[in-house]
Amino acid sequence: MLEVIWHARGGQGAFTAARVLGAAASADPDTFALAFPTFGPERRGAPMRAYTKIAARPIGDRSASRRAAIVVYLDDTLFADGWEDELAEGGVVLLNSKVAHPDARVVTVDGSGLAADILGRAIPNTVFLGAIAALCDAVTLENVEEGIRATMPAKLHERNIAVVRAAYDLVAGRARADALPCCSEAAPIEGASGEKEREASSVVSAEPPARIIPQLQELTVAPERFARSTCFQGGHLVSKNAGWRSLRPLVDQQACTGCFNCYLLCPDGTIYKQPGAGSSSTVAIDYDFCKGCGICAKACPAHCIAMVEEGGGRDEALHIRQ
Amino acid sequence: MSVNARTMSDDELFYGHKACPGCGGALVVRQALKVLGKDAVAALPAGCMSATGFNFPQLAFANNAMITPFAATASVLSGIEAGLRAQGIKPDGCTVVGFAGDGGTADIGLQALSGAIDRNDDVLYFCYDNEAYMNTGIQRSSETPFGASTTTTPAGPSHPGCVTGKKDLFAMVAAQGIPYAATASIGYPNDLLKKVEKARDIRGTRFIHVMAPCPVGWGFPSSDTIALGKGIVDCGLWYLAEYEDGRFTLNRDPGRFASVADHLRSQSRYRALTDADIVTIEAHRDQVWQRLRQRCSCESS
Amino acid sequence: MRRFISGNDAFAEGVRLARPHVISAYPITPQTTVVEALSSMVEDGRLQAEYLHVESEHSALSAAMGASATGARTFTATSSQGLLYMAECLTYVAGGRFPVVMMNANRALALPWNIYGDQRDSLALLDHGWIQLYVQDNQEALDAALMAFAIAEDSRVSLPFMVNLDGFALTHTYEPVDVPDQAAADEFLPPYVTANKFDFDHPVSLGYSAGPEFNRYYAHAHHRDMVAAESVIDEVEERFAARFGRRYPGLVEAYRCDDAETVLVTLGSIAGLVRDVVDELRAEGRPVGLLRIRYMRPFPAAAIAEALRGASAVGVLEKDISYGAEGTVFTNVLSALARRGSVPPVRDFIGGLGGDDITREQIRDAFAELERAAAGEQYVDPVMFLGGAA
Repeated sequence: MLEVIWHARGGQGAFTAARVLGAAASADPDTFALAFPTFGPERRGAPMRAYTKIAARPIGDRSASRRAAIVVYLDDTLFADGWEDELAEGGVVLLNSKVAHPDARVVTVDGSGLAADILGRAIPNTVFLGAIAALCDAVTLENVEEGIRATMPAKLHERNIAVVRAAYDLVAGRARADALPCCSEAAPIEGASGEKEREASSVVSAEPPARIIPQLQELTVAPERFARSTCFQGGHLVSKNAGWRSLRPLVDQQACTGCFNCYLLCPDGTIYKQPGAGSSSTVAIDYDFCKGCGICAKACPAHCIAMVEEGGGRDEALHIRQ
Repeated sequence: MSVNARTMSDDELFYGHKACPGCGGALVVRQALKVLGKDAVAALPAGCMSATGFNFPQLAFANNAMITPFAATASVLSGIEAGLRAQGIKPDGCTVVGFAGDGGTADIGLQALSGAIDRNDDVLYFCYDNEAYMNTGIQRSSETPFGASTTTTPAGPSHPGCVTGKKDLFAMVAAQGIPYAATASIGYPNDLLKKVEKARDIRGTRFIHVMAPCPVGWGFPSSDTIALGKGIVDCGLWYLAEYEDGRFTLNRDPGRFASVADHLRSQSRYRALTDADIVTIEAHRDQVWQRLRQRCSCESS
Repeated sequence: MRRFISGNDAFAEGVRLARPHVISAYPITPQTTVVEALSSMVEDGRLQAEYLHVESEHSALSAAMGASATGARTFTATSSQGLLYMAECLTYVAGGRFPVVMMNANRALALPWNIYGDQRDSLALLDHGWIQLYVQDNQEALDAALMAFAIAEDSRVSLPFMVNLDGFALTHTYEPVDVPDQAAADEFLPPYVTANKFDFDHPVSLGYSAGPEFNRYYAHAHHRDMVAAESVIDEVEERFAARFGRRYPGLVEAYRCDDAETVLVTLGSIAGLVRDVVDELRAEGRPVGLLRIRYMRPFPAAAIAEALRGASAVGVLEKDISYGAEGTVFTNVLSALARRGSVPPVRDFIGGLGGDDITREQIRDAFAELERAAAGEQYVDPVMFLGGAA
């Protein structure tokens, strides 16, 4: 496995470079790669790292690399004592600097200068992709160009590819790192299965009556049908409200003027219109569901609804005055 | 055609529910569905109307209806509307409508309501306001008025009851630039029906805050629900208004208010109020009305 | 088409291929890039869906439930505190049997505040009635997105499906992923057909209450169908392999367990490193194995017991701790062993909390500890914090 550690400051494009490198390597269908940043709050200018891992088999270890064959510093102020601890044996450091470094393991490239010349901005990240292509077999120049096209916005392709080519030419032949191991295959497995027919779940339906109103009925559906969802026929009633009532409204049909005030104001909707004498209409009450609240009696401007005690007769009417 | 007692549909879409006798909230749901019709899809959070309307196998909604998490009335409405639209299966004249109590709206559901208004989702939201958490046994909500005794603001030696006033939901939703908002009361049913009809035909988010007296929580006979719903408007402790196209309208300006004391003394929740407390309530009412009149172009009735 | 993309991007591609009608989500690190990717797809027309910009996770899942109740294919995504903020709605969606698919980016829970990966968030919610899958890499993430809809929406299952991706280790790590084409995805994933939805010809009550005399029927059906999901998962994976050539191993993946004396059980992306260590130790002649649990719900107790049949010591490596008890995965694995009737020496290795690295050396040490346990070494507390904690 080839590991690359990218050191940079937020905004220098290290994670983009790490991704392009991974994408470049995965251009080969038998190669696997991972790319990820240090998962910190991303703040422009703060030191950060990114990682690229490339291998010929799926990569199990998703943790940050501790040692790498290539360690890149996009910002030379981050290159500090202890840098050797991160460098695998035989590896190279790629340092963005105008000044050569005495240690042979440290390859310096004026990435900022090169980027400024070609991109017009001193963003050095793609310079080092060209350098990596020149230094090792993990990716070719063509792979990197493909990685840029797959990863970066289209308007950036041309100039960044120019940067990569320039960097490649600059670095080619100066040093070599690890070679990428060869690849293995992943065999597809045959299998077949027909699509299962879908069955509807438990909704019971009934023909809508002419006047839509919930209906008293018996629960005939077995639990194994209704309990597979909380979806059931709307307006399904199994019990009356009649037992709640201590007072029963009685309508004096002769006196009713058909104003429908009671109908309008019944919270339970238990008053319904019915034809009266001639062309007039009166109201009637569904005593199965009337709770006996007495609103209708108070609402009647003609005082033609009386509240009488349940079980009692008309004589004991308790007439609620408005 | 305006909807009234004569013209409204015979369909009873909310029927056989187990709400208390004389329930104001149940009347809001019933009347709203009379106007919105059988293709309305209703969503109700935890609260009196879901607890009494939906207990399997007693299912009192004849239209499509669904329960929601307590805080989520508006967001479930948004999801229903988006799902119907995304599949191209929303019938013409289908209103996606929510019915939540005052606690479910002004307290726990406020964030989701604000989100729906922010997105201007095409839903109609009713707050039926009975001025406390009635389903759980009369606990204070942010719509409980000053002086009302609840089980969590009990009248005692220190306080007559709740010491805070009603949260102004109407102004809050208007501040978000909602296409249509209104206040109403079941004591003025024709005004309510007119507003439901208007809201039905407007696209985008609509909000109607309906005063819905509760015989049990307020302490009055079940036959007096409508009278209390009218009385609270007449004495100025509630008001009928609209917000539409960026303009406020006061639908009813009583000019001279009916007696606040008479209204309050008819409810046992106000039993501990002193005359001085009532003066405080009247002073606060006058402040509210001053603000209301300032922001409304009055249309006297 | 092979592309080099992050786990979140891979998952978003899977969701795009599944053609959901409604996406409802609220941003939270490290889930954000999946909803950003989906937003872009909706914006540029690659995905025809309603994207609801909700104001919280609670509303995200509530809106998803509302949409699902219309028969719409529905997706949401979250992480960590966001998942917990949704917790109430999880049970609504599951109990209502709405096959919403969710991607959860596994992340630590506050306090201390921490945005990095562990699995305390989803494991705390095992009992909320959702199918829970833990994937290992980005390819599995994409494939899981497609299979999740197929499994969740199967009428024999009708349950919501949570796909868990390790925060950052998967969500933000790039690797090559084969992205299937739309025609193949359409061939694999049929439209969502259900009767568990609003019906304008025959209106329904959805999500009602059910009292003590009925409640157990719902719970039993939920449990039974979750168990039945096991065979549906196998079927769907079979169909997936036939269509796409990638075969998944069912609810668990046993790696070199057949003759293993010590086995480490784990879930999620860390299984990749454990697999590498198993290969290393095998090369040294040590009979070790890896058991990767893919599905925590339905819980594959029988498959786990079977895979661990020959093991003389069993360790669980998990990014989770149920304070005052042990890791939740450990509890579940022990239950599977106890059901079988015999429990070998066991160890619970707690690691990776709050994004802490689990290293190759720690995994080697864990196997060494298991070898000592197999040899009969006594212990007091089987719960061990990797890296030392005292």
